Formats: sequence, C-alpha cells, structure tokens
Amino acid sequence: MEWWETLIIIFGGVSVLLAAGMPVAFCFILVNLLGVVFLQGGGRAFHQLTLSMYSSVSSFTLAPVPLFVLMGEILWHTRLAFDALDALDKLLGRVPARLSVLTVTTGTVFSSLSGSTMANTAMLGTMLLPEMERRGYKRPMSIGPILASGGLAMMIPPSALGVIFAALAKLSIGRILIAAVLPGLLMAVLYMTYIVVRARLQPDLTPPYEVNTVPFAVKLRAAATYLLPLGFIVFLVTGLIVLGIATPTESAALGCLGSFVLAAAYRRLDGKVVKAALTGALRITAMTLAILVGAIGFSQLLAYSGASRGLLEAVTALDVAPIVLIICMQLVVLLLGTFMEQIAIMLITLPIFIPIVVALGFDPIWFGILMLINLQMALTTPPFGLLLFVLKGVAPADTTMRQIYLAAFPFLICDALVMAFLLTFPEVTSWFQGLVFD
Amino acid sequence: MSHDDPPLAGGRGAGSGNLATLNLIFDRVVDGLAAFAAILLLFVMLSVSADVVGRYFLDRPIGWVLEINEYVLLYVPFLGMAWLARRADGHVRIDILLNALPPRPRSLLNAATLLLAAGTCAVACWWALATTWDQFARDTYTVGIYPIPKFIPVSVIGVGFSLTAIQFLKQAAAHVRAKPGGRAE
Repeated sequence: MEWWETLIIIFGGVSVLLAAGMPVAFCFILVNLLGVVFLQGGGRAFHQLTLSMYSSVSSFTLAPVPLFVLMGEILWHTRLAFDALDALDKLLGRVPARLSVLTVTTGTVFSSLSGSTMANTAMLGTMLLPEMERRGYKRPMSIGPILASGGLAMMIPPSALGVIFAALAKLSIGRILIAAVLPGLLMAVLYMTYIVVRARLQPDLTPPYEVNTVPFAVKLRAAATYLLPLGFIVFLVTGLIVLGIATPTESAALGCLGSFVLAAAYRRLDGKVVKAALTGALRITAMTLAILVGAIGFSQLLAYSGASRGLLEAVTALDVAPIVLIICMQLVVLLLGTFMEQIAIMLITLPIFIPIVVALGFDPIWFGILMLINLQMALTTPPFGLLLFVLKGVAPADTTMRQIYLAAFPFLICDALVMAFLLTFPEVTSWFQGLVFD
Repeated sequence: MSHDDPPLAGGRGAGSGNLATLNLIFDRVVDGLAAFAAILLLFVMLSVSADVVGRYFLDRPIGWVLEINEYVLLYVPFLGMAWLARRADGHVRIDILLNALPPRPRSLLNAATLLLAAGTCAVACWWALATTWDQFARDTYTVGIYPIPKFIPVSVIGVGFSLTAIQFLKQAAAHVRAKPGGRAE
C-alpha cells in the first residue's frame, strides 16, 4: 500500500468513529489496536502498545494540567472570582460600554487564574449577562465580549491546552505559556477597542447608566482585599516561570497550593468546597489524560505506516512559499476546529505538522501560538463551537443561536487579525521570548 | 460534550437480587478508585510544592517527587476512567450527529459506539494484563533514581480498562432497552 492510502484509511477511520459519537479517547485506542493488527502483525507489538500508553501519560511535563485545573476549580467554588469581579467593577470609572469593557477586563483577569475556557465563559455569562440585560445592553455587546474573553483562558497562562501542546510537540512548556501571553493581551486590547468604537458609533447598543462614584478609599480597599491576593497567585503561576525560579510544574503546584491557602484565609475552605473542586478537577484531568493515553501510539502508527514520512517528503517537495504551507496547516486546524475536540485535533495533526514546521525552518513555538489562537477561535466558530453552547446554557431563555453566532463574529475577526499579525511578523514571538527569558 | 444524553442509565444500581448486589459492589469499587484518584491530585500539589520549598529553603530537594508523580499521572486517568464513563458529562465525545437523530436511531447508535468502546477496552485490557505479566515474568524495572518493578505501574492500565469495559457494556444495554421516545431507564 502507498503511504497516502494508509494515511487516508487511518484518518478516515478516526473521523468516522469520532463522528459516530464514540468517546474520543477510545477512538484513538481502537485505531491503535487495529494498526498493531494490520500493520505490525499483532503479537509482541501489543506489548509495545501497552507500554506506549504508559509513557504517553506518565510524563512529569503533564503535571501542570491537573494543577491548573484544580486551581481554577478552587477559585470558582469558593466564589473568590465573584469578589474579584466586584472589585474590578468598583475600580472601573465611567467608560463607554462600561459593562462590555468590564467583561473583557474580568475575562482577562480570570484567564490568568484559570486554564478552562468553559469555566471562564460560564462564569462571565452567569455573573455579567443578567446585569447587562437589566441595563438594556443589546446582545452583540453583551454576548460577544463574554464569548471572546472567555476564550482568552486558552492563551493567558495557566493554559492547560498550552501545556498539552508543548508536551505533544516536545517543546518547552515555559516558553509556550509565556509566548502566548503577548497575543492574548493583544486580543484583549483589540476586543476593547472594537467595543469602544462600536459603542461610540451605535450608542443605543449600550445605554449609558449612572455609575455610583466610589470613594478612593473604598476602591483601594476593594483592590487590596480581593485583587491583590489574586495577583499573588498570578505571580506564583507565571512570575516564577519568568524569573526562572521554578519549572512550570512547580509553579503550577505552588499556584494551586496558594489558591487553597487564600481560600482558607478568606474562611471559605470547607469539606464541601474541597470535594466539589476535586470532583471537577478529576473529571477534567481524567478526560484529558484519557485522550492522551492514545497519543504516542497514534503518532507511532503514523510513523510506522510511512504516512508521516511520505507526507513530510511530499509537502517539502512542493514548490510553494513555506508560509503558504503554514497557512494551509492553519486552515486545516480551523476546519477541524469547527466540529472536533481540541486535544483530538492536536493528536491528529501534530505528528504530521511539527516535523514539517521544523523542516521548513520555522520556530515551532511560534507555530504553537498560531495553533492556540486558531483552537481558541474554533471554540466560538459557528456552527458547533463549544463555547457558543456553553453560553446558550447560561443566557436568558429567549436568546437564539443566531444572535450568539452574530455576536461572536466581530470578535473572531479580532482574533484573525492577531493571527495575521503573527503570520506577517513571526519575529514578534521570538522577540518576546527573548525579552522574557534572556 | 454531550449533556442531553439519557442520564447514563446503566449507571447506578439497575437490576434486582444478586445482580443488584453485584451492581452495587461494582459502583462502590468505581467510586472508591475515583476517590483515590482525586486524593492523588492533592498529593501532586502537596508533594511538588514540598519539593520546591525543600530545595530553596531547606536545601534538601525530595528526590522521589518527580518519579512518583509520573506514576500518579498514569494512575489518575485509569483509576478515573470507569467513573468518568458513568457520568453524562464524562468522556468527551462529538454528539453533533447523535443530536440530529430521532430518539430510537440515536439510542441504537449510542449503543453501537458504546459497545465498540467496550470491545476496545476489553481487548486493550487483555493485552495490558499480558504486558503486566510479561513485565513481571521478565523482572523488569523502571528507569530512574528509584527503580521499581515495572509491572506495578503498568498493572493499573488493565484495571482501568476492565472496569471501563463493564461500565460501557452496562450503558450500551441501557440504550438498547430504551423505549422509543423515552429515556433510558
């Protein structure tokens, strides 16, 4: 069989199983088992497969995943996040489209405390949407900012997906996490610019309301009580990596411990909270790692069938500009992203993409950042973006999917702009890494 | 990702008499292993933090932290696998097609994919146990500062797959039994 025939069979098989609704983790395991039977003739090769499951997940580099998730769960179940929003509300003065701007600000702050886009979106939706409805904000300016800034959790550390990308592509986790900060903040700035400009052009979308003047002393108190301590957690998670004091796993553990200590200091830590947080963290961690169980087996299958090599040779022999290939790869991710789960996308594409990216002479970290932006966009891309449905779940009953789609769209343009910027100026990523690490 | 599936019936305590007792025991075992996995998450946090503190403040890093946490990362998904399979919001699946189907075909497709998943787990379990035995018989050790017999960490793979295979089977059966238009109870 030619390599491309094998490739089509493998990808076709995975796609059919995934589309039929088989749990993602077991699709990959099944395909790996079939690969051992048909390509390697079974027998002792099965032992290799078992051992590949062992080495896929028993990797210390993946340890930040459960820690980031647990940290977010603690801050959510102790409702410390709600107090942070309240404090930010007090600090923010009179600005156009105030609540929309507050959404992006809060979303960015939460993103630096939680690695889960779903939790972030649900949190913002629950806390801010009712207030926006009450103040007569129109849906494009209420739902849109929530969707967009909910997704920021993927870019701004702690990002569980960033860790998984780095682990799968065998890159430095610290560098991926830090390099994603710049585009993440850039997105937040673009979102705000768009909101303010649109609010100026169409004032009826965001009716202004009387903001109670908050005395400076109260502002200061709110910031000191509810924001500064969270800043300490951000420092533990991100700051320690930047300063080179701790590895990403260690800073994740300290950040996680820090959030427990903080919760205890506010007297919010009890058995119920801990149990709820651990259950939530176990759910997300086990489902993430379960999908990764098939990771090494799957990339070995692609390698053994000659598909990786064949595709690599075919692609590098193409007579097109390398950047065009990068764009094509991103389009593939975008396409997969409209219906597929993100770790599955990485599992399928990275064994093929990373060797090509390296062969073309690009920085894989830069490519990783592009891919993270892309996967974040996928979360809010109609018709099946996951966050669109998360938001539907917390939005008022009369919200239609169409309203949600339309609200998401302008912010997707903002994301695309950031991506185009990075594609045009790849050196920005390396410049930022240099700034932080060297 | 599927939130509006039938509440995973085939979940807790279906059946009667001896079968009900077996079901109950099975659920307890699954819950117990998941609870252990949750405690392991706390262990990751505490042990890694202790290692950093030990290194910076007491000048005494804890050598075994890295290696033991690698085993933990293997244990968590396999100990939690069957527990996750029982939850409606458990293992990630793409439910676009499922949701587009009328109830009866949806139940049948659900049953088919769950059966396939159960079969996958059963085969994977068989080989995982074979590998565990193989590692034991050949007396292999893990590579590291503190080598341990390799069959110890490897054994959890078979445990996880066996329980998950049973759990998926139970759910597939529940979907087959589902009344048209009704929920699988």
